[in-house]
Amino acid sequence: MTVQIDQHNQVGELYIPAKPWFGMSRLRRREAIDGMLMALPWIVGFILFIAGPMLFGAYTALTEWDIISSPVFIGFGNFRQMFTIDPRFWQSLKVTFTYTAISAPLHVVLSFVLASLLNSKAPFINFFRSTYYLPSILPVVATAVLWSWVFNPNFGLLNLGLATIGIDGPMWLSDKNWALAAIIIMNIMYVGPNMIIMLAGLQRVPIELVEAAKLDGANRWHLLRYITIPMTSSVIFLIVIFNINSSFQTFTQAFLMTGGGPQYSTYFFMLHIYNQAWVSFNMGYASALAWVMFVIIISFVFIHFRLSRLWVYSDVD
Amino acid sequence: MASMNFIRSHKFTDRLSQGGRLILLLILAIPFIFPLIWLASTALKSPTEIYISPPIWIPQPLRWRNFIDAWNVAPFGKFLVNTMITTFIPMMGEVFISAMVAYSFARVKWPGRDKIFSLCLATMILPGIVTFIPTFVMFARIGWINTFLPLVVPSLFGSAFYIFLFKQFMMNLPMGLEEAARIDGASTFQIFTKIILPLLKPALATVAIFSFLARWQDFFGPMIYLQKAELKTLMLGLSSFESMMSGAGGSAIGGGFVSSNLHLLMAMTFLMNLPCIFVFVIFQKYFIRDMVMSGFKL
Repeated sequence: MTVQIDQHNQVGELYIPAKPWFGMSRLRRREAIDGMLMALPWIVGFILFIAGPMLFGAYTALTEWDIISSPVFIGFGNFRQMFTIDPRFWQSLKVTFTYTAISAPLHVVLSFVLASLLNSKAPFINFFRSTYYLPSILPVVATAVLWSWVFNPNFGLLNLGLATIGIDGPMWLSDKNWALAAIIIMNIMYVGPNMIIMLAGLQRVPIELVEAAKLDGANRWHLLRYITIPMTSSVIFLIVIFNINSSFQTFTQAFLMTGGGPQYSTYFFMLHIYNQAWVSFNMGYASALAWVMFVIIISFVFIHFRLSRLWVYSDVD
Repeated sequence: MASMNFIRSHKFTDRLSQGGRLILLLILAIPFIFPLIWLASTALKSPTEIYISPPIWIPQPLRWRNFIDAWNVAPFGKFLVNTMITTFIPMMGEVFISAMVAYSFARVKWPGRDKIFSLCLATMILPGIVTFIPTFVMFARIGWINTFLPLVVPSLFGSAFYIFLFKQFMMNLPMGLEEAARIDGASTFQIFTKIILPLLKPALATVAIFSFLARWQDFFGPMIYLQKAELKTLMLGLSSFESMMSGAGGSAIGGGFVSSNLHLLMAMTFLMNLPCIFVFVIFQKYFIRDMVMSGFKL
């Protein structure tokens, strides 16, 4: 209707070529306003629950604050304390780095192996795919309780299984040399999503390429090294990012299964933050720790992106 | 002849490798499936059957009442109601708000849109704890501790990951779908509810399932915000059931201790898994097919 009203105000000659543009721009403007309104919930949420808290947290990180009294500005005091005085800081970093350094590559390899095995039309493939995926959708709390029992040194499933093949299993969660290994083993249960992403990557490897290489006399190793891995490198890249990110934020498993012990051998960085924030109520120090974690994750992602140019193949389509 | 032989031998090695493949798959499946069978078996045992070695896999008799006894250890009925609140309200919010925002990002043109969407994507690598601490302080100040509000309200603003999933899905819908409706004078919001939303069913189901599972399993948020016993969720109930048996500082059932209630703890653990298993079995295709096909177009 509005378009018609405008029509009367125009001089005929000039109007005819301009008409669609004029009409469109009106619709366009309307569309733009509607679009912004529809995106508004996320934008407001971003300000309220991400940007605002981040700024506030950045300030808190520079204060000493027990929540009850008002925060005291201490500059970089929290960071100084972290790097020079706090022994738990280095221990928790060591545990988290060790865990990530073992768990992330393990997940890449395992998801690659499983996905390769599942990338077939053999019978029962769907059954196996579901079997591998199922544990990853079960609650972490439930899995942690179950695996605490599985790791029981005397009556647990794992040591009973090891005993049948003649291995005397360790004390797992109560042994400081094995507790972290136990959590890494349990974390294998969460390979499902990685495996599915990897499977999607494998299914995109063009069959002609494989056939052509076979005709040229490529063996299995050649196919893997020069075709499959390069063609799935973008997926591998994604899985590495996901896993570094989630490994660094490991909390529930350690919190429930070991509480960080024995002798701080499973004292993850998140446990340290949790203890500082909600046990000791050092909100300033906890915020500073959270920012350290943020910087570490961001640098990892950044380095990984940079390195990816060297080894990730992308077909720009 | 030579080529015939070649084909035959090729088929033979294929079949052989198919058998090898299945055997490997079977061996690798052991750690994924046995703990769950072990869980079901322990859940149905009597206390005396638990600490017998070699272990009994099928208890005699099957003690089904373990499930009822476990349910009565703590007010789990109340916990279930609480969990419903902290699961389904956020789920609705996350599904519909995220879909709407994603529509705006995917198919509506407005200045600055792509920059804002990049920002939205970037928030996904932000570790939750960075915003969690200040948000906690904020909620504490306005008296939201020991209410469900901190677990419900933020979800009503959409979630970056689900927005991303929806956007990917919507990009695959044919272009020009909205043109006719727009020329007829429909507003963008009407186009979204009348034309796009009905086409979105598979994506809505996928996101609803992910959201349900994430909320059902959430531990950290409820632990921080719900400190009163009567507000606990099922996951908090399960973890305090476990620590009741273990005492402070880690798990006793993972240590050398003998507990007389382990069968009940395992029965409860089994019950906690059950809804997730149901959802998985019923909606399997959404986990595997749609997640891959719609979400991760790499």
